[in-house]
Amino acid sequence: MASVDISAIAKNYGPVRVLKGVDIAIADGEFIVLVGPSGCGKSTLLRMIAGLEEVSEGTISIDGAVVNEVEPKDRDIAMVFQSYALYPQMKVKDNMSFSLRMRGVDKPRIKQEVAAAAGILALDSLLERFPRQLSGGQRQRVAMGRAIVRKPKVFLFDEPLSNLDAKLRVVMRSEIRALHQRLGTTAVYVTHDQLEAMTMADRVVVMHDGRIEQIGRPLELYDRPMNLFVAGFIGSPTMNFIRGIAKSGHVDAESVRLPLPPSLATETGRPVVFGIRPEHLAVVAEGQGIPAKVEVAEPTGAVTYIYAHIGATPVCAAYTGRDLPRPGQMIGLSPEPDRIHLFDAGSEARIDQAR
Amino acid sequence: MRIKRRTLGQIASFTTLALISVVFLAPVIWIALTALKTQREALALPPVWSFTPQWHNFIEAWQSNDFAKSFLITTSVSVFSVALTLALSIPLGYVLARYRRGWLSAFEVAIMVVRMLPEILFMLPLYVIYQKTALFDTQIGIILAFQIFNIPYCAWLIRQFISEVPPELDEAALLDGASLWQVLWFVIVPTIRPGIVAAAVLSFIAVWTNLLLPLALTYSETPMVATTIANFKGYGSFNWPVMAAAAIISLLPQFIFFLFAQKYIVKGLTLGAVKG
Repeated sequence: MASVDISAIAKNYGPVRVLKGVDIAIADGEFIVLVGPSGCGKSTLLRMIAGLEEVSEGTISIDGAVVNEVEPKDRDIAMVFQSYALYPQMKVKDNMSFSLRMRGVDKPRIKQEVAAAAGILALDSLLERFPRQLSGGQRQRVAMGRAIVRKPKVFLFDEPLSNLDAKLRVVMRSEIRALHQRLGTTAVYVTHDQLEAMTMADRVVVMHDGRIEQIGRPLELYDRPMNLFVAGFIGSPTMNFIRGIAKSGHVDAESVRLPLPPSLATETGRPVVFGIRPEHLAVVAEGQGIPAKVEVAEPTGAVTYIYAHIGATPVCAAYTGRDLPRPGQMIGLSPEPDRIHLFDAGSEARIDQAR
Repeated sequence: MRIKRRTLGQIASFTTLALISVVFLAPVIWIALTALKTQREALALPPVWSFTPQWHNFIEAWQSNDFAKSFLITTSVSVFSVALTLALSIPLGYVLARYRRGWLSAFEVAIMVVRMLPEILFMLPLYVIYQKTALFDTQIGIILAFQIFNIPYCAWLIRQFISEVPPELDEAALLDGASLWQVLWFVIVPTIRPGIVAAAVLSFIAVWTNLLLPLALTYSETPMVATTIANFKGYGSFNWPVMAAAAIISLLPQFIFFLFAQKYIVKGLTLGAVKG
């Protein structure tokens, strides 16, 4: 187990700067998820922690020691790859024992460690098989077995669930989480799936365009996104944004008035973005709330997502009623006052600083 | 109707394949038949198809002109030459596959150009160098000379096979504590085994059948099979049947090597077609 300190890290590929000064302090035993859209630099950062990419600027420290110049094999890190990267010519047991063999561990101990890891991951019956004889989920489990067998200081996961089907992904998600709780090893996990990030992380690092947009616990990011990007990235369906001008007690937007609670009061005339999540936008009868025209209703079972327009702005509301509005019908939408988010239209930063 | 069309198609492809086989095999069969004839029958026109097999031609071939000695030397030269080629081509192929840099691409093209140049171009400088360095007419000398032509080809072939191996395998092994050499030996080599066998077979055949290099760089101390067979010609006449018998004997090691490696070569040629 170990802490990982990432300080002012930058990465250049020739003239292209893919990481632009990143700072993260990862505590011992913490499960950190790096999340962001493709090309945001999250995988590059993970590979830099592993030592597979050189650091252009800044320092990476593991347990207080700077490891910028330390070879991957000497960092005591294990990584689970998206493609699993199992050695195709080796049986499962040999895949799992490879790192121990490379480190010259004696045979009886190798056998003992492999058996222990196989027990944890229910791989006992697969040890004599080759990777090509395994299903996707089994391969994933072997990749994790290979990572845990030598008890590294840090686990790195590079989108390990992307190649699995949706159902298996949910199962493996909780398996990885349970494994982390059992072993307590520091883990850095990369994904582009915000749901994966929210469900697995102790803390989530939202990255965008080579920078960190926000670091926080999953519910912190959901409840108090610090800017428009995080607000739009976390949560599904995404948060509704309506542009307008701040007035006393409301926002003027395309001939509709969006009510603001007193806590969000800001200077009159300021261009702002009014944000409200679909689940905090209640569907009410026509004539009440903000008038909206229904486009389509998508029932999912527990909730129905009502896609509508407020003026020309598309919005989505989560509705739990069973009497669904028809396309073209006018309805009212009522935002929960203490769930409204307000952002500056220029800087895109959150406006209410106190709550 | 559909069955009929398929049958016709099969007949057409079998006929084509049979014709191609005849074109390729005819010279070999002709030599094999010649090896079993007397000198008179071998030269007869029109060719004689009914004759008593002269098996002693093979014994005569084996016993004359140092053929047995050249057979053993060629085997030794081929084996060591292939071993050296692989030992150098695998790391070279790895570097070419994994480290994409501008100057490496130029180097890659450069070594292939070496392979494209005619062998004869190298003969004069090599002859002079070999005479001056006592490499002339030695096994080490001829083994080194073969590397000039075999390494570029094999390194390219192996580079191609390594390119098919996901780099994550190398990275996983590096993180598992392996050095680059260990990555190469424990991860890459077993994964591309069919490619390595294909490279070994091709370079073995290249060494075994080469005439020009032994002709220029060896003499009586290091006779090679190809030059020995060529030497079966006398001053006034050719002993065709014995020469043909020697040629057939010289085919055997290649044939055995190929049979042994066949399944790997086929695998090697299809590797990468299916991911997984």
